[in-house]
Amino acid sequence: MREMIDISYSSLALGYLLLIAPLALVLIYRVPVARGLAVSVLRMTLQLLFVGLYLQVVFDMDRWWLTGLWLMAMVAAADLSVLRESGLRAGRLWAPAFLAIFLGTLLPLGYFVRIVLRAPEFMAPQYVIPIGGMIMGNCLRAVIIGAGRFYRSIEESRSHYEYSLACGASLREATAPHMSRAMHEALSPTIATMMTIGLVSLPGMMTGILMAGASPAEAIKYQIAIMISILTGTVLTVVLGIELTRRRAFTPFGVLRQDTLR
Amino acid sequence: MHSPAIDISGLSVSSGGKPVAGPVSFTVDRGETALLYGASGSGKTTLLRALMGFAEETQGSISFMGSRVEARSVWHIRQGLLSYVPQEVDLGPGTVRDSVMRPFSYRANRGLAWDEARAANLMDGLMLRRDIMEKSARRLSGGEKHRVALAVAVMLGRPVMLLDEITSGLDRRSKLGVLDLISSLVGVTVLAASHDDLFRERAERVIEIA
Repeated sequence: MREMIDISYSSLALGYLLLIAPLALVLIYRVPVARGLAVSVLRMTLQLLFVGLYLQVVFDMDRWWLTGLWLMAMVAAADLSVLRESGLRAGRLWAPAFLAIFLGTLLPLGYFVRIVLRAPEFMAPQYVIPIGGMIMGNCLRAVIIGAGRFYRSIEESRSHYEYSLACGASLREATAPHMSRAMHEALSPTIATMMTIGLVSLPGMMTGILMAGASPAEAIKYQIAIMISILTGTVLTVVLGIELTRRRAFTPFGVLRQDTLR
Repeated sequence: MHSPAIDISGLSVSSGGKPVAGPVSFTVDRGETALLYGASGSGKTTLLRALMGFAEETQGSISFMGSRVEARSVWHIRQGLLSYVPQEVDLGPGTVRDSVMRPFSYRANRGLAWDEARAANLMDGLMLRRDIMEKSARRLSGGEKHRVALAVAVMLGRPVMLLDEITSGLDRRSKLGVLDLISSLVGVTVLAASHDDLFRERAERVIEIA
């Protein structure tokens, strides 16, 4: 294995010089994003510095509970993001959404780390944190689309939904077409990514492993395993996200509560 | 002595804490056709939706055939005792055939067999063209949707039928087709919200809503 080249801080400073070109072009063409661009670069730097320092501590201490705490923080951040982005009201739904993301991520993550990777310990931070983050990021995107679509679809066709109940449908039967539509929309981006993976650009994880000095044969094995984990986590999280929030989003009479959507 | 088919006591409906309909109290005997009569905006539709369990905030009690509508019983009541034709009918995606056959795929209706000849007879009686079954359900007129939903309600064979403005927008011949069908139902209790004078003449009882 070849050694990965470390970027020195002075070299990284040179990297920032590259920003002169986009900033100059934005100013020349009077694109009203110059301020946003500067703030985003600053935020990106500060956030990554913080994450880098924190992860360094987590990696150095190598304690299962610290890694677990980091994972829980990621799930909590993802939970709030789902409720904010999908247009659902947080009050009644945060706990089931949290559980959906937690289980949807943890199950494929555990399988990947213990069964596929055969890591000596499940909570090895150098595997659990980056792989967990990758799985969770995709699950998050899918459940935002899926849960939002599910409840919005019922709200938009409330007349037909109630007519189905009036004709004798159970809650599951009346919501089945909306579940199918929501799942289809939520899974489409992951399926599209898998269809073109490697053809247009090399995926991030594979790129990272290659740069770290691994052979392409080693890198694709990781990438295939992670894609399978992502697909599994995505389906699990969307199904759990809808199933677990459903009980609280409807009245016991089967009516979608008016305060479910913002 | 049988309990009444419909027994409403002190029913009122609110939305966001503000009263929007009621309070009303009335009973409808088994096999009777009763008309819920009142001006537009008097809350007839809201009350019928509340009877189906579709209103979020209700006070008072609702019973069908002696079974009180509560969170635990509402599913059994909807699936065994009630059929409903709402004011705004959305038959869902697909053709009319898909729409009318869909309820027969529900678990609660598994004991009911789909009867093509009966469906055709009902459509004829309701002055609907034979080819309507192959049309897109969402492209039907409001009156056609009402009549298709009425045919489904009849085929489901529930003992209590709730109808909301079923004759609105229909010509006299179609109205008579609907009213004749309702009159022909033996042992079925009908509660219909309407301000149609023809319906009022045919109803056995009129319940005025202020």
